[in-house]
Amino acid sequence: MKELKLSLQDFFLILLCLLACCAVFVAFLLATNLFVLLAIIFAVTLAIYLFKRVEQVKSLITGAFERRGKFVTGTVIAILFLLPFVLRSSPYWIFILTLALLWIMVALGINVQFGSAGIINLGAAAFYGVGAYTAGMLATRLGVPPLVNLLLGAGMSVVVGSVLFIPVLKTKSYYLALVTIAFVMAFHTLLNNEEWLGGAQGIVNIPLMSIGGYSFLREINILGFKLPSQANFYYLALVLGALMVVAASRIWNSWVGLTWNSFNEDTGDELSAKCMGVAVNKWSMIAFTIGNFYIGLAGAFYAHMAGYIAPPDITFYQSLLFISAVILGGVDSILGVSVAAVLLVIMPEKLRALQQYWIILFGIILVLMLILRRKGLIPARIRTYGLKISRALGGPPAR
Amino acid sequence: MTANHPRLFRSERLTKNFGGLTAVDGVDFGVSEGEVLGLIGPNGAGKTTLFNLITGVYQPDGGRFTLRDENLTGLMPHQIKKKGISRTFQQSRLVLGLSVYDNLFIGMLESFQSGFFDTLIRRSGFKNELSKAIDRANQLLRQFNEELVDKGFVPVSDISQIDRRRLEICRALATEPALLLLDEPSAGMTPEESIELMNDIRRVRESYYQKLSIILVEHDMMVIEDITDRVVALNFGKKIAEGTFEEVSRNEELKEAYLGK
Repeated sequence: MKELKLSLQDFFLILLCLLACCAVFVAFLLATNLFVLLAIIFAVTLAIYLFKRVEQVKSLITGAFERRGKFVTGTVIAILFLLPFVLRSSPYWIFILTLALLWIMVALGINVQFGSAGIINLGAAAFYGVGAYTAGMLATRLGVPPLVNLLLGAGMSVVVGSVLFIPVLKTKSYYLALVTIAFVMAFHTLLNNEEWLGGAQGIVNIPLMSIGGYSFLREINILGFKLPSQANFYYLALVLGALMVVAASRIWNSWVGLTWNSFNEDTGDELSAKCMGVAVNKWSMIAFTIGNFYIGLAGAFYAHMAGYIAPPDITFYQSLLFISAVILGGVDSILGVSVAAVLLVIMPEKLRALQQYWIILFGIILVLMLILRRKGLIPARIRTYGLKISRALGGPPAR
Repeated sequence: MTANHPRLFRSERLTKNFGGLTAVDGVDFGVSEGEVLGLIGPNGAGKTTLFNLITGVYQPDGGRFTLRDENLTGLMPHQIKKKGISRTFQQSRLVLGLSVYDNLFIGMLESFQSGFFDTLIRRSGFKNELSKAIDRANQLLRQFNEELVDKGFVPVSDISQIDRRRLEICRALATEPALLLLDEPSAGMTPEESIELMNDIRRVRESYYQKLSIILVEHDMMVIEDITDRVVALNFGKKIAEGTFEEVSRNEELKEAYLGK
């Protein structure tokens, strides 16, 4: 009987928390008054602070989440599925959420490169651009179907990435950062100047995503509800994103993730990893490749969602935004970088009233985070390989 | 006693120059199977450089070294690990942010079979390997500190310095080497802790690795006297003495190197 009571309590708490988060999130998205927005931000910050401080609440809730992993996953998926229904009268926000999903994909890619393996890639926007341009070119010049382009865009990103293998393997830290910055800047210039790549106009009139004969411009009629066409992109991105998250998570929670951590320049030790038999060069290239695949795929998707891609989308500044998702969210933490990616897409949209001051605010936040909370919003946890280890036995605490 | 055991490792005239400085100068010595060889000498004598040479971290400028008569000169560190030489470092090179188990597993990574397929899709193969790895890890930890077994998933930053030193040795042992190089393992420890550490190492050898050979760099002469079968002494990169501890400790040049004229 006590078992049942505990289960029900857990389920209730989980539902309460997740639905509350969802409600606040949607309210935040739909609010237009700046003061309301700031009030919500303040309230959320306060709630998180209280949650951390009040031990009973914290252990009650985290315990529930840890015990009912499958229920949590199911609920989250259900909520994500239902979001377009709730937002069906605001197609713009469905579009923004889809963009957030793409940013999660990019963040996951950078997380593999930088978070796990310590390979700093400040040229991420270039790989995003390669994916987008490949998809755009293949679609407009050769009529390749959009779904195939996702794979081809990702593949091209990997191929172009191999150009940087030598600097990745031979140069370290600051120097590699400079090389990748130079790379994205050179790529930007190339895009601007080459007419066959569309020049300053970029590639326009890219056919939007379609699967088989199903055009993504159609509204969805489901369960009596009418969802705007943006929902099509959202659901496809959700499916792809979910697959990518699961893959990234399984890779992290395995020998592969550990291998990368072992020679991570910032947190690991390359020399001892080598002496322990780790083939550092091989695994560096693998990390770099997987990351670029993720980033390129997101770029290709974007091309088929926006319908055009142009040089202003591919800059060093864009790279910085991408990588800050990892730094702010939590280095090597899949949950952390995902949350940060979503925030980085949504905040500038909501705080449009602040306009150019957003960049200043962003800079301040970045510096504050690095000083006060180096580990990020949701720091990486101890690897338990999927085993359930109770905290009493020493894990998994945050790293 | 050791003369009967086959020669496991040989270093022949190993030499390493850094610009004008000869850090290791034509060093010749050998280690037999199952032997514990002490490597002593004042700071700067070239002991760590020698370790770096025989683990492939540095490439020698002259000479060569062999393991079981196989020439290992020129190999990279991860290849040398495969051949059977492992080491610890003077400053701890554990990954502080990772758990105790994770650090040990790093030493075992090379022996794991599960690849991407097992990681992504068929997790059962991986889970199998994982539980075996945890068993092996516990086995090793138990020899040094029973408490560590319960701390498998604790981040290394949360365990004591002494335990970290033990863990570092465990990690090197996890690679199942034929020859283990220990670089000042008891630095910073009290005499009691040093003896305890050496007893732990002895126990591990007796339980699991009877044939394990060890080269031990140490400044604590009590430890050297206690645990080593033979000693090699270096000074300014040259070997100045070789023999049992008694023989070497009578060497005039060595006494001068440590104590001055």
